[in-house]
Amino acid sequence: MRTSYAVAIVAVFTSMIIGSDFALAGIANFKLMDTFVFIVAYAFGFKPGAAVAVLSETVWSVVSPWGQAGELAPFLIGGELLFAFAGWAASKVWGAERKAVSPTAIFIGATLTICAFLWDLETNAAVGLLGGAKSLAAYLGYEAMGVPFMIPHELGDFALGMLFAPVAILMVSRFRKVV
Amino acid sequence: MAVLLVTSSVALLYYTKYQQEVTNNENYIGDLDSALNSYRSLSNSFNASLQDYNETLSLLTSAVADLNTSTPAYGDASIALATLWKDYQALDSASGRRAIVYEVNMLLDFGNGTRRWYNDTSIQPGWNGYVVTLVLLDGRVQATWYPQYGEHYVTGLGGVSDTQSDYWFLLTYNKTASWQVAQLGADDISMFNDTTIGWVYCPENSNYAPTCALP
Repeated sequence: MRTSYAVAIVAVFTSMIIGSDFALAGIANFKLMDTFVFIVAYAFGFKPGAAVAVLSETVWSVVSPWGQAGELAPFLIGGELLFAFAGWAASKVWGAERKAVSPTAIFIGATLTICAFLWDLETNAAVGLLGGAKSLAAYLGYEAMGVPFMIPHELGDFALGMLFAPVAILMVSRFRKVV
Repeated sequence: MAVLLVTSSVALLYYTKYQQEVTNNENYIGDLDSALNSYRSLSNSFNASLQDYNETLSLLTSAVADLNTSTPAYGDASIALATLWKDYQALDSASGRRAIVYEVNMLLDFGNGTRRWYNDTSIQPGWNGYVVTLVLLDGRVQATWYPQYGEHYVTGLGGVSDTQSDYWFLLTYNKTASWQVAQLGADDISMFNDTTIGWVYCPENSNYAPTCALP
């Protein structure tokens, strides 16, 4: 992939993620970031997906209306790379998406849900770490308290992964052929 | 001749006195104008200070809503916020005007028969359910801040903390559905005029729903 093309892809998707994050800020734990990162990695490979993940999460960690993520930011950024890896791995398993509606859509939704679950586990553990947790029980406490927030995040990712990601991957793949 | 002389002298005396009084009066008017200008300037400064106070409160509220709850700054700020808000309202009332506030209600049900109502309580527009709870309870809220979700998990209110079996549940109220367990966290509940929220402390069932009767 040409460098200018890759930069354009990363810039466009990062902008869309930040814009949509602000637009959806009023809806609890429902964001397009995970799905977009997955889509970019699926359609263009791991590196552009990872670049979008790192850039968008870094920007969001600073400009989020809920305040800066501070010390938690590296954990959020690291966790977001999961979606890039999953997108790239999924493209190797399922290949180019040819239909907007297919059984694969459920698997894409499930993949995003698993990634969201791992991201939640990792970031909740980080909250515990930064909050001074010193025992396994304390960490489990932080994980348990995070459950009410994890559920809408994972349900949202499943819905977007099943309904939006296959269509978006198809559209992006067609756009790629034109370019 | 003598009468004319006396009358003229008296008239001259009174004219002199009159002139003195006129001069004094002009001085008083000047002083009053000066005092009035000073008062207007002071009043403008007071109103500007109140505006700054209001903005500072908004900034402090935003900071408290986003601060890691384990930091000392959060503890100090959350306690100070309630006091500052009360002081601001008193000052605002003394200024003769009334700031735009919302009147909200909050119920705290301790699950042992003790219920505490905070009725028609003034809040600043823009506060969410968490900030309202924090201010009404004078900062006596235990919570864990999850920055990645923009949410607090509340673990204690008014000196009563969650245990292995009992937890604080957030409730919302409307006239048609009465009390319902909130589907959103306190941070996501926007508070408007006449909004009513409640907190109930009771055990939960296997579906993580409160087992006690809602108010």
